[in-house]
Amino acid sequence: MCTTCGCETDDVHDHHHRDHDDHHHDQVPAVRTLRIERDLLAKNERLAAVNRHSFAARGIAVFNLIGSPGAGKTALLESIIRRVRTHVPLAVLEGDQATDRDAQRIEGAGCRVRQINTGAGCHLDAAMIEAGVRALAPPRSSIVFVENVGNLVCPALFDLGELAKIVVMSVTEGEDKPIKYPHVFRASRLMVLTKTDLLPHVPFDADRCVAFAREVNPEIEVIRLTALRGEGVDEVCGWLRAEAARVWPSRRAAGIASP
Amino acid sequence: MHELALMEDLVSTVAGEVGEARVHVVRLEVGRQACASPDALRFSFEVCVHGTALEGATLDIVETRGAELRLKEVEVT
Ligand SMILES: Nc1nc2c(ncn2[C@@H]2O[C@H](COP(=O)(O)OP(=O)(O)OP(=O)(O)O)[C@@H](O)[C@H]2O)c(=O)[nH]1
Ligand SMILES: [Mg+2]
Repeated sequence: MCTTCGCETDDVHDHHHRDHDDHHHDQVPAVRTLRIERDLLAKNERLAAVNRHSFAARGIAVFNLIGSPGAGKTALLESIIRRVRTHVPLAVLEGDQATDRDAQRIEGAGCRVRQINTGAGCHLDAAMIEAGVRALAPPRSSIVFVENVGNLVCPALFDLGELAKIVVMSVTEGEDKPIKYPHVFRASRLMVLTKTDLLPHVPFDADRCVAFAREVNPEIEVIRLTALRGEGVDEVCGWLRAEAARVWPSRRAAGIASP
Repeated sequence: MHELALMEDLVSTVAGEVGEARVHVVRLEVGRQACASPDALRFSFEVCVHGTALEGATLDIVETRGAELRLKEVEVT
Protein backbone atom coordinates (compact mmCIF):
# COMPACT_ATOMS: atom_id res chain seq x y z
CA MET A 1 0.00 0.00 0.00
CA CYS A 2 1.02 3.64 -0.37
CA THR A 3 2.76 4.54 2.87
CA THR A 4 2.00 8.24 2.49
CA CYS A 5 -1.76 8.13 2.35
CA GLY A 6 -2.60 4.52 3.17
CA CYS A 7 -4.37 3.85 -0.14
CA GLU A 8 -4.23 0.50 -1.91
CA THR A 9 -1.91 1.37 -4.76
CA ASP A 10 1.82 0.74 -4.79
CA ASP A 11 2.43 3.32 -7.53
CA VAL A 12 3.87 6.70 -6.75
CA HIS A 13 1.16 9.32 -7.05
CA ASP A 14 0.49 12.92 -6.10
CA HIS A 15 -0.86 13.87 -2.71
CA HIS A 16 -2.66 17.09 -3.54
CA HIS A 17 -2.63 20.03 -1.27
CA ARG A 18 -5.66 21.94 -2.38
CA ASP A 19 -5.17 25.65 -2.79
CA HIS A 20 -7.69 27.70 -0.93
CA ASP A 21 -8.18 30.50 -3.46
CA ASP A 22 -11.65 29.28 -4.31
CA HIS A 23 -13.17 30.15 -0.96
CA HIS A 24 -15.15 33.28 -1.70
CA HIS A 25 -16.04 34.08 1.87
CA ASP A 26 -17.72 37.40 1.06
CA GLN A 27 -20.28 35.72 -1.21
CA VAL A 28 -21.30 32.70 0.85
CA PRO A 29 -24.38 32.70 3.06
CA ALA A 30 -23.98 32.84 6.85
CA VAL A 31 -22.23 29.89 8.41
CA ARG A 32 -24.45 27.68 10.56
CA THR A 33 -23.18 25.28 13.15
CA LEU A 34 -24.80 21.86 13.37
CA ARG A 35 -24.15 19.95 16.57
CA ILE A 36 -23.85 16.26 15.88
CA GLU A 37 -22.20 14.71 18.98
CA ARG A 38 -21.35 11.23 17.84
CA ASP A 39 -18.67 8.84 19.03
CA LEU A 40 -16.30 8.09 16.16
CA LEU A 41 -16.19 4.44 17.02
CA ALA A 42 -19.96 4.32 17.40
CA LYS A 43 -20.56 2.15 14.36
CA ASN A 44 -18.01 -0.48 15.36
CA GLU A 45 -19.07 -0.34 18.98
CA ARG A 46 -22.70 -0.88 18.08
CA LEU A 47 -21.81 -3.93 16.01
CA ALA A 48 -19.50 -5.20 18.76
CA ALA A 49 -22.30 -4.93 21.30
CA VAL A 50 -24.59 -6.94 19.01
CA ASN A 51 -21.83 -9.56 18.57
CA ARG A 52 -21.22 -9.83 22.32
CA HIS A 53 -24.90 -10.33 22.99
CA SER A 54 -25.35 -12.86 20.20
CA PHE A 55 -22.21 -14.86 21.08
CA ALA A 56 -23.28 -15.08 24.73
CA ALA A 57 -26.82 -16.10 23.74
CA ARG A 58 -25.40 -18.89 21.56
CA GLY A 59 -22.84 -20.01 24.19
CA ILE A 60 -19.81 -19.15 22.03
CA ALA A 61 -16.68 -17.93 23.83
CA VAL A 62 -14.68 -15.60 21.58
CA PHE A 63 -11.09 -14.66 22.44
CA ASN A 64 -9.22 -11.92 20.60
CA LEU A 65 -5.44 -12.51 20.42
CA ILE A 66 -3.38 -9.40 19.80
CA GLY A 67 0.39 -9.08 19.48
CA SER A 68 3.15 -7.73 17.28
CA PRO A 69 4.11 -9.57 14.07
CA GLY A 70 5.91 -12.78 14.96
CA ALA A 71 5.09 -12.65 18.69
CA GLY A 72 3.96 -16.27 18.51
CA LYS A 73 0.16 -16.00 18.30
CA THR A 74 -0.29 -18.77 15.73
CA ALA A 75 2.23 -21.04 17.49
CA LEU A 76 0.29 -20.62 20.74
CA LEU A 77 -2.99 -21.42 18.97
CA GLU A 78 -1.46 -24.53 17.42
CA SER A 79 -0.41 -25.85 20.81
CA ILE A 80 -3.75 -25.02 22.43
CA ILE A 81 -5.59 -26.74 19.57
CA ARG A 82 -3.55 -29.94 19.92
CA ARG A 83 -4.40 -30.12 23.63
CA VAL A 84 -8.04 -29.14 23.54
CA ARG A 85 -9.63 -30.10 20.24
CA THR A 86 -10.83 -33.52 21.34
CA HIS A 87 -12.63 -31.98 24.34
CA VAL A 88 -14.06 -28.72 23.05
CA PRO A 89 -15.30 -27.60 19.62
CA LEU A 90 -12.84 -24.97 18.40
CA ALA A 91 -12.63 -22.63 15.44
CA VAL A 92 -10.24 -19.86 14.45
CA LEU A 93 -10.60 -16.60 12.53
CA GLU A 94 -7.19 -15.66 11.17
CA GLY A 95 -6.51 -11.99 10.44
CA ASP A 96 -3.54 -11.03 8.26
CA GLN A 97 -2.96 -8.36 5.66
CA ALA A 98 -2.15 -11.03 3.08
CA THR A 99 -1.88 -14.81 2.47
CA ASP A 100 -3.60 -17.76 4.11
CA ARG A 101 -0.41 -19.17 5.58
CA ASP A 102 -1.63 -18.98 9.18
CA ALA A 103 -4.95 -20.56 8.21
CA GLN A 104 -3.04 -23.45 6.68
CA ARG A 105 -1.09 -23.92 9.91
CA ILE A 106 -4.29 -23.90 11.97
CA GLU A 107 -5.91 -26.38 9.59
CA GLY A 108 -2.79 -28.52 9.83
CA ALA A 109 -3.22 -28.58 13.61
CA GLY A 110 -6.71 -29.98 13.05
CA CYS A 111 -9.00 -27.00 13.54
CA ARG A 112 -11.73 -25.30 11.53
CA VAL A 113 -10.48 -21.94 10.31
CA ARG A 114 -11.32 -18.98 8.10
CA GLN A 115 -8.74 -16.53 6.87
CA ILE A 116 -9.57 -12.82 6.74
CA ASN A 117 -7.20 -10.71 4.61
CA THR A 118 -7.36 -7.02 5.44
CA GLY A 119 -5.23 -5.70 2.55
CA ALA A 120 -4.09 -2.24 3.65
CA GLY A 121 -6.06 -2.56 6.91
CA CYS A 122 -4.17 -2.89 10.17
CA HIS A 123 -6.87 -4.41 12.39
CA LEU A 124 -10.01 -6.53 12.39
CA ASP A 125 -13.35 -4.90 13.12
CA ALA A 126 -16.64 -6.11 14.54
CA ALA A 127 -18.30 -6.50 11.13
CA MET A 128 -15.56 -8.88 9.94
CA ILE A 129 -15.97 -10.98 13.09
CA GLU A 130 -19.74 -11.13 12.68
CA ALA A 131 -19.36 -12.41 9.11
CA GLY A 132 -16.53 -14.78 10.06
CA VAL A 133 -18.38 -16.36 12.97
CA ARG A 134 -21.51 -16.68 10.85
CA ALA A 135 -19.51 -18.60 8.24
CA LEU A 136 -17.88 -20.85 10.85
CA ALA A 137 -21.27 -21.57 12.49
CA PRO A 138 -19.72 -22.82 15.76
CA PRO A 139 -21.88 -25.02 18.01
CA ARG A 140 -22.99 -24.21 21.55
CA SER A 141 -20.26 -24.46 24.25
CA SER A 142 -17.45 -23.82 21.78
CA ILE A 143 -14.50 -21.48 21.57
CA VAL A 144 -13.65 -19.20 18.65
CA PHE A 145 -10.18 -17.68 18.64
CA VAL A 146 -9.57 -14.53 16.65
CA GLU A 147 -5.94 -13.97 15.72
CA ASN A 148 -5.80 -10.26 15.05
CA VAL A 149 -3.48 -8.66 12.49
CA GLY A 150 0.06 -8.57 13.89
CA ASN A 151 0.10 -5.08 15.40
CA LEU A 152 0.28 -3.75 18.96
CA VAL A 153 -1.44 -0.48 18.14
CA CYS A 154 -4.62 -0.41 16.06
CA PRO A 155 -6.37 -3.63 17.17
CA ALA A 156 -6.58 -2.23 20.72
CA LEU A 157 -9.09 0.34 19.54
CA PHE A 158 -11.61 -1.97 17.88
CA ASP A 159 -13.97 -3.91 20.10
CA LEU A 160 -14.97 -7.12 18.32
CA GLY A 161 -17.55 -8.21 20.86
CA GLU A 162 -15.09 -10.76 22.24
CA LEU A 163 -15.26 -12.23 25.72
CA ALA A 164 -11.67 -11.14 26.40
CA LYS A 165 -8.66 -9.68 24.66
CA ILE A 166 -5.40 -11.55 25.20
CA VAL A 167 -2.12 -9.80 24.45
CA VAL A 168 0.65 -12.12 23.31
CA MET A 169 4.13 -10.78 23.80
CA SER A 170 7.45 -12.63 23.47
CA VAL A 171 10.61 -12.26 25.50
CA THR A 172 12.53 -11.05 22.43
CA GLU A 173 10.47 -7.86 22.22
CA GLY A 174 11.94 -6.02 25.21
CA GLU A 175 10.36 -5.70 28.64
CA ASP A 176 9.23 -2.10 28.16
CA LYS A 177 6.55 -2.84 25.53
CA PRO A 178 3.66 -2.54 28.02
CA ILE A 179 4.51 1.07 28.80
CA LYS A 180 5.42 1.95 25.21
CA TYR A 181 2.18 0.53 23.78
CA PRO A 182 -0.10 0.94 26.78
CA HIS A 183 -3.50 0.81 25.05
CA VAL A 184 -3.45 -2.85 24.18
CA PHE A 185 -2.17 -3.85 27.62
CA ARG A 186 -4.87 -1.74 29.23
CA ALA A 187 -7.57 -3.35 27.10
CA SER A 188 -6.41 -6.95 27.68
CA ARG A 189 -7.47 -9.27 30.49
CA LEU A 190 -4.51 -11.63 30.06
CA MET A 191 -0.92 -11.12 29.00
CA VAL A 192 0.79 -14.21 27.63
CA LEU A 193 4.54 -13.89 27.90
CA THR A 194 5.78 -16.39 25.36
CA LYS A 195 9.06 -17.87 24.05
CA THR A 196 10.33 -18.26 27.62
CA ASP A 197 12.60 -21.04 26.29
CA LEU A 198 14.71 -18.19 24.87
CA LEU A 199 15.24 -16.49 28.25
CA PRO A 200 18.78 -17.91 28.64
CA HIS A 201 19.75 -16.24 25.36
CA VAL A 202 18.23 -12.77 25.60
CA PRO A 203 18.59 -10.05 28.21
CA PHE A 204 14.94 -9.82 29.31
CA ASP A 205 13.73 -9.17 32.84
CA ALA A 206 10.35 -10.95 32.96
CA ASP A 207 9.43 -9.60 36.41
CA ARG A 208 10.10 -6.09 35.26
CA CYS A 209 7.94 -6.65 32.18
CA VAL A 210 5.06 -7.85 34.38
CA ALA A 211 5.54 -4.80 36.62
CA PHE A 212 5.31 -2.54 33.57
CA ALA A 213 2.14 -4.31 32.43
CA ARG A 214 0.55 -3.86 35.87
CA GLU A 215 1.57 -0.20 35.82
CA VAL A 216 -0.80 0.38 32.89
CA ASN A 217 -3.33 -2.28 33.92
CA PRO A 218 -3.22 -3.36 37.60
CA GLU A 219 -5.82 -6.10 36.92
CA ILE A 220 -4.02 -7.84 34.06
CA GLU A 221 -3.34 -11.54 34.57
CA VAL A 222 -0.05 -12.99 33.32
CA ILE A 223 0.90 -16.46 32.12
CA ARG A 224 4.45 -17.29 31.06
CA LEU A 225 4.85 -20.05 28.50
CA THR A 226 6.76 -21.56 25.65
CA ALA A 227 4.77 -22.84 22.71
CA LEU A 228 7.92 -24.60 21.51
CA ARG A 229 8.34 -26.80 24.59
CA GLY A 230 4.75 -26.61 25.84
CA GLU A 231 5.36 -25.40 29.40
CA GLY A 232 2.62 -23.02 30.51
CA VAL A 233 0.17 -23.92 27.74
CA ASP A 234 -2.02 -25.99 30.11
CA GLU A 235 -2.29 -22.96 32.35
CA VAL A 236 -3.62 -20.92 29.42
CA CYS A 237 -6.13 -23.69 28.65
CA GLY A 238 -7.31 -23.55 32.26
CA TRP A 239 -7.70 -19.79 32.07
CA LEU A 240 -9.69 -20.11 28.84
CA ARG A 241 -11.97 -22.71 30.42
CA ALA A 242 -12.71 -20.49 33.41
CA GLU A 243 -13.48 -17.56 31.11
CA ALA A 244 -15.55 -19.57 28.65
CA ALA A 245 -17.67 -20.92 31.51
CA ARG A 246 -19.14 -17.43 31.78
CA VAL A 247 -21.01 -17.88 28.49
CA TRP A 248 -21.22 -21.65 28.16
CA PRO A 249 -24.57 -23.02 29.21
CA SER A 250 -23.28 -26.27 30.75
CA ARG A 251 -20.43 -27.62 32.87
CA ARG A 252 -18.91 -29.30 29.84
CA ALA A 253 -16.10 -26.76 30.30
CA ALA A 254 -14.58 -29.18 32.82
CA GLY A 255 -12.79 -31.18 30.11
CA ILE A 256 -10.75 -28.41 28.59
CA ALA A 257 -7.59 -28.43 30.71
CA SER A 258 -7.16 -32.20 30.81
CA PRO A 259 -4.50 -33.48 28.43
CA MET B 1 -3.61 3.44 9.91
CA HIS B 2 -6.83 2.83 11.83
CA GLU B 3 -7.34 6.59 11.51
CA LEU B 4 -8.23 5.97 7.88
CA ALA B 5 -11.09 3.64 8.83
CA LEU B 6 -12.34 6.19 11.38
CA MET B 7 -12.30 9.01 8.83
CA GLU B 8 -14.13 6.92 6.22
CA ASP B 9 -16.96 6.41 8.72
CA LEU B 10 -16.85 10.07 9.72
CA VAL B 11 -17.21 11.29 6.15
CA SER B 12 -20.25 9.12 5.51
CA THR B 13 -21.82 10.10 8.86
CA VAL B 14 -21.38 13.81 8.17
CA ALA B 15 -22.59 13.51 4.58
CA GLY B 16 -25.72 11.81 5.91
CA GLU B 17 -26.34 14.53 8.50
CA VAL B 18 -25.87 17.69 6.45
CA GLY B 19 -27.94 16.85 3.38
CA GLU B 20 -27.45 19.49 0.69
CA ALA B 21 -25.50 21.96 2.82
CA ARG B 22 -21.89 22.75 2.05
CA VAL B 23 -19.52 21.67 4.83
CA HIS B 24 -16.69 24.05 5.76
CA VAL B 25 -15.47 22.75 9.09
CA VAL B 26 -15.78 19.41 10.83
CA ARG B 27 -14.96 19.65 14.53
CA LEU B 28 -13.74 16.66 16.52
CA GLU B 29 -12.77 16.17 20.11
CA VAL B 30 -9.76 13.87 20.39
CA GLY B 31 -8.44 12.90 23.80
CA ARG B 32 -4.78 12.29 24.47
CA GLN B 33 -5.66 8.79 25.69
CA ALA B 34 -7.81 8.07 22.66
CA CYS B 35 -5.25 6.06 20.75
CA ALA B 36 -5.70 8.08 17.57
CA SER B 37 -3.19 10.61 16.37
CA PRO B 38 -4.49 14.06 15.35
CA ASP B 39 -1.92 14.28 12.55
CA ALA B 40 -2.92 10.93 11.12
CA LEU B 41 -6.59 11.88 11.47
CA ARG B 42 -6.01 15.12 9.54
CA PHE B 43 -4.12 13.28 6.87
CA SER B 44 -6.72 10.54 6.54
CA PHE B 45 -9.50 13.13 6.45
CA GLU B 46 -7.86 14.78 3.43
CA VAL B 47 -7.67 11.41 1.71
CA CYS B 48 -11.25 10.44 2.54
CA VAL B 49 -13.03 13.68 1.57
CA HIS B 50 -11.52 13.60 -1.89
CA GLY B 51 -14.36 13.35 -4.40
CA THR B 52 -17.09 13.52 -1.74
CA ALA B 53 -19.57 16.23 -0.66
CA LEU B 54 -17.07 17.19 2.06
CA GLU B 55 -14.29 18.02 -0.35
CA GLY B 56 -12.66 21.31 0.70
CA ALA B 57 -13.80 21.09 4.32
CA THR B 58 -11.26 21.53 7.12
CA LEU B 59 -10.90 19.21 10.05
CA ASP B 60 -10.69 21.10 13.33
CA ILE B 61 -9.40 18.93 16.16
CA VAL B 62 -9.91 20.03 19.74
CA GLU B 63 -7.45 18.08 21.85
CA THR B 64 -8.66 17.02 25.28
CA ARG B 65 -7.11 15.10 28.15
CA GLY B 66 -9.37 12.06 28.31
CA ALA B 67 -10.12 9.23 25.90
CA GLU B 68 -12.85 10.93 23.89
CA LEU B 69 -13.02 10.48 20.15
CA ARG B 70 -16.12 12.42 19.19
CA LEU B 71 -17.58 14.20 16.26
CA LYS B 72 -18.89 17.41 17.90
CA GLU B 73 -20.27 19.68 15.21
CA VAL B 74 -19.95 20.89 11.66
CA GLU B 75 -20.03 24.38 10.17
CA VAL B 76 -22.09 24.55 7.02
CA THR B 77 -23.59 27.06 4.63
N1 LIG C 1 11.76 -20.28 20.57
C1 LIG C 1 10.46 -20.11 20.36
N2 LIG C 1 10.02 -19.69 19.16
C2 LIG C 1 8.71 -19.52 18.99
C3 LIG C 1 7.77 -19.74 20.04
N3 LIG C 1 6.53 -19.44 19.56
C4 LIG C 1 6.69 -19.06 18.28
N4 LIG C 1 7.99 -19.10 17.93
C5 LIG C 1 8.57 -18.76 16.62
O1 LIG C 1 8.34 -17.39 16.37
C6 LIG C 1 8.07 -17.17 14.99
C7 LIG C 1 6.75 -16.46 14.81
O2 LIG C 1 5.70 -17.28 15.32
P1 LIG C 1 4.21 -17.13 14.82
O3 LIG C 1 3.39 -18.07 15.62
O4 LIG C 1 4.13 -17.23 13.34
O5 LIG C 1 3.91 -15.63 15.24
P2 LIG C 1 2.58 -14.76 14.98
O6 LIG C 1 2.42 -13.88 16.16
O7 LIG C 1 1.46 -15.65 14.64
O8 LIG C 1 3.00 -13.91 13.71
P3 LIG C 1 2.04 -13.05 12.69
O9 LIG C 1 0.79 -13.84 12.47
O10 LIG C 1 2.85 -12.92 11.47
O11 LIG C 1 1.79 -11.74 13.37
C8 LIG C 1 8.11 -18.55 14.33
O12 LIG C 1 9.38 -18.73 13.77
C9 LIG C 1 7.87 -19.48 15.49
O13 LIG C 1 8.45 -20.74 15.29
C10 LIG C 1 8.27 -20.19 21.30
O14 LIG C 1 7.54 -20.41 22.27
N5 LIG C 1 9.62 -20.33 21.40
MG1 LIG D 1 0.16 -15.60 13.03
